[in-house]
Amino acid sequence: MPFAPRPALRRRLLPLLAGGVLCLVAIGAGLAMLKPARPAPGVVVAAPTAQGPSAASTGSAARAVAAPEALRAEVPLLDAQQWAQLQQSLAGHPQADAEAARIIELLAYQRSVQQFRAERLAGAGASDPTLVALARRIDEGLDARIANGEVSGPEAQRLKAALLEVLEPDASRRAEALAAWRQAQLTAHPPQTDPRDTQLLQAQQVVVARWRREAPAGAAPDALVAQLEELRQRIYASPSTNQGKTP
Amino acid sequence: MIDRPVSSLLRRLLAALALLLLAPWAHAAWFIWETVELPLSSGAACGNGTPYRFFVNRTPLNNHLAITFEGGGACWDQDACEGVGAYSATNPDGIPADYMSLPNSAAGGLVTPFSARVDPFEGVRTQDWTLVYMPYCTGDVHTGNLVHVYNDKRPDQPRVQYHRGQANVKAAADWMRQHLGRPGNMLLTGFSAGGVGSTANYAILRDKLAPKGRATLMADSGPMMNAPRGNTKEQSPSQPLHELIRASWGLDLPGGMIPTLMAKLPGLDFNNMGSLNGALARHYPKDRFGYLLFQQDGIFSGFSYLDFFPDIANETDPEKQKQMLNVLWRQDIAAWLPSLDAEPNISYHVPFFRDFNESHCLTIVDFSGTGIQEKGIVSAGTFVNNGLDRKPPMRNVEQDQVSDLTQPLSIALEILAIVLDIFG
Repeated sequence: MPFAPRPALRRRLLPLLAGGVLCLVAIGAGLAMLKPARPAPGVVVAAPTAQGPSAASTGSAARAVAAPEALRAEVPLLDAQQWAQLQQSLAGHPQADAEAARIIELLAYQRSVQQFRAERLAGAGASDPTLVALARRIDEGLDARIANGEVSGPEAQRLKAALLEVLEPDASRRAEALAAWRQAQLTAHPPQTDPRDTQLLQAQQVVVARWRREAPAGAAPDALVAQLEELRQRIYASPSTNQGKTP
Repeated sequence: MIDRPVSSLLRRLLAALALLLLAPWAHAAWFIWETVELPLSSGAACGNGTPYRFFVNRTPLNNHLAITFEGGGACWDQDACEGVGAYSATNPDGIPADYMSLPNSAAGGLVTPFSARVDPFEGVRTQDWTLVYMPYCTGDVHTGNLVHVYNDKRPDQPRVQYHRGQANVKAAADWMRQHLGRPGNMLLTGFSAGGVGSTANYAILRDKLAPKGRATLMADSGPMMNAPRGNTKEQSPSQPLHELIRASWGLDLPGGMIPTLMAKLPGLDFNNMGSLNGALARHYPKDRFGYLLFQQDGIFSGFSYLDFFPDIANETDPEKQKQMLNVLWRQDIAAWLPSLDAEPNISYHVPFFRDFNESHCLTIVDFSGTGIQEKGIVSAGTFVNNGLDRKPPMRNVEQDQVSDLTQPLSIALEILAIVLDIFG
């Protein structure tokens, strides 16, 4: 038995095995929350899960155990390898379960949008009740995606435009609705300002004015560039009070 | 007693392996747009001197990478660098850390399916890859290497313009290599100025990131036309533009784009920036290079010729002016395409017209109206997939000069056109 684990090693493997089982439970739970909105041949459907906390995040073991394999096959949101990759990528994450749940919800949302696109390409009209229901669900989940930083502003705008095409039949009201949404987004997210930027611009003017006063005509601007660079380094050496995430 | 050292060694090996595998992904946030601010010590800067920031949206599910270069004008005078005028450079005030959350960012919010995860209009396979978005704030089509003081408009308040596009790309490439590792497949794309930027910086990113799989370029509406030095502008209408930007943006200076590319690409002709297309194709024979543009592009042609052909600039009839620009544009295209034909790994897609954004850019918003029906090509999506799939190169030039004028476009383009009209 050259490959049989030794007792000590076996003891160490037990937690790993238990972790693996938990992973399977979690994937089952994650997949269990994905209900097909309108199953169609060749079209994988997954409902957005903004309605409530997911099984994965609440650890609903009963629901996880009940997750049928058929659903997993029918809704290959993640295959086994991808799930393993996701789990590995979250190893050591302080909120791994919540993060996994968020990602699965996003992937489900992505699938819903893919289905929306497929339905439109297949010729579903704006009055199609299934399409309307799908559009409404996607619309309801959009704010959460924006808040999570999962979709960009322009991406959200395109999505909103597509949804309004279905949800607002009147062309002029549709344009007004998109404009209003856009304005609301701009109001809700005023551009971040960094006070160091203003400081830099003002200081640059001073440096350039001095250089133009003092440098001989036709002088190479190397000295000016060096001064400007020193200025940038100095001003941005102090931390901003208003910075985005920098991984 | 024997178990301990063996298991300890095993544990250490496993830990080391895990660290090795996970190192590029440590502390990664998946499927979220993250801001990366490049260190000033790298030379990176936006046009006004503020820090350059780009954006990353990672996936743990594959190791492929799609990099999009933003477009938005260019500048070689004070007004344009400060964002004044129809053709002025975008983001003159720099890139805020929350840029990606703003609906009016990225060319007024038009963006492209290549930088989207959830897209209701276009499904592009790279939407499942790790996405990198390179904003544009330097006015130099991501290529510059010079700090220029422009005072032609307001001498008392000069504009200090950091044409640092190339430093931004180099520093971003370093960051990507360090934090994302070597990608599997890699796509470089960009629209308008980003189309030029993706082409000009292809070799820098390609060499730094060293993708293990397929590397592909899809450059939209930013052609590097053939314009040999020594030719007159009547022979090569883009020649004056190329000459001006070489000087204004420091492309020929030590460390500038031309010397950098000359060192990498033996086939590059110092006296013809348009030779970059062929030089890239020959240097990376297994890569695929795709170029897209409209025959009626009214914006890139404006950039290319208005400042250099006074008779066109002085034309008061807008329609006639457009026609005059288009004559030169088509002359440049006619000289350009045969040079691309010589390379077996170059494709191009040149439809006639799209009634949106003056037929400038095929990949913004969606691909509707970018097909070539006479060839059975529904949209530019077919062309993109052809390149990613390594199918025989496509050389698509639409002959029909009528049907596109009345072709229906997607409702998205129509709605967004209305909204942009409202918001200016």
